[in-house]
Amino acid sequence: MPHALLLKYPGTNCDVETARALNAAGFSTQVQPIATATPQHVSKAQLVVFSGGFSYGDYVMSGRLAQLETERFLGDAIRKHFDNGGFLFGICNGFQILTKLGILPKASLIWNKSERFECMWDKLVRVAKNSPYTTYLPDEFELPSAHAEGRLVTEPGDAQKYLDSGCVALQYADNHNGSELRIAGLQDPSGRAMGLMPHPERFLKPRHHYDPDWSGDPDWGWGYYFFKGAFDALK
Amino acid sequence: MTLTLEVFSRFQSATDANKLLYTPIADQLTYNHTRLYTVECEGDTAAARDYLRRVLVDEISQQVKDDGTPALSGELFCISYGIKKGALDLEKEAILANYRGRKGLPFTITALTITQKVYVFGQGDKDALAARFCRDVCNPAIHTWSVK
Repeated sequence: MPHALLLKYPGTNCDVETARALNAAGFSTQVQPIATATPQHVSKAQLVVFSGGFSYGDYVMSGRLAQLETERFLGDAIRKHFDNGGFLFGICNGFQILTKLGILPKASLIWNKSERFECMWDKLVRVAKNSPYTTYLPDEFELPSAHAEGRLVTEPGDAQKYLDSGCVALQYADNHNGSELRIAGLQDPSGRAMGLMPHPERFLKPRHHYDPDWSGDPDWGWGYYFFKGAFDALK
Repeated sequence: MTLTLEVFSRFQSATDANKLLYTPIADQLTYNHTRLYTVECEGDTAAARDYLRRVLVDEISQQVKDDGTPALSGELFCISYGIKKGALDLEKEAILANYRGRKGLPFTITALTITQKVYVFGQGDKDALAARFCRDVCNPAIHTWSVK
């Protein structure tokens, strides 16, 4: 059974729902606080997950201190995990952390254009076709979002390069946070590492949808299929 | 040796200053903000500067001014505020915890002060407006502040 390691930081607050989603997809899941995490924890996992929240209170900028503490406690274990074929998945604050760890294409997530925290459902467009996380998803689907620092920015011209090279996993249909090229999720060229701002773990079951009559799928919400896709690619 | 790093966004331009106030004012003011880190350190200051830049500055989305001069100019006034002495500054503690956890750095950080700077742009009665903004931006229970 594929094993998932979910790293938890002070301020992480989506670990329970994310672990539930991983378990629903079939993973055995270990939630590990970063202060007690070791490279051995990473080496036992096929998937390392960074879940949502406000790690270290978003001090300095979102994800920065989590990145530094990950490097301090785990050294290059995350990089080795990835280089050895492991999967990485970052959700919201986890996406912010993942961008700073230097595995995803170079980008940064800054304050929304509105300069406010925004909580809403996003219509998303599936862009990358080689992502194991989005294999089972339709071309357009919706997920809940909740973030203040979700506006993806890159160095000039990089966003277009990412789109052209297949590194854009998801785009917003309605770009409320002002991300470059409406980018909602990035992946590495192989698709094994992916980060996105919306929260798939919050739409695990149809009853989690804002519309009580939602009929997109009789058994699962769209968010489930991110975890299921990763599980099936790893089993 | 004192190092200063004033960090500001490449993407954030001055915006409506009424966002800072509990009740809006008629003056057409805008504001922008930066964060000033003042670091006392000993040892290899070049290494300290490199470390601090790596920790405190995002190379994609931010810029930094480290020569001691203000990052922004042309303001009507600037409010500098930070956590008062003796109060818990969680951001400072988080940064220092990471620093203390790193072994073999060729420098020692002896003090860190974090100052939020709010630059207010436009025309008007500087003293009255500054007092109004200080009242709504700063919290006397935990902050000290100055206006220039």
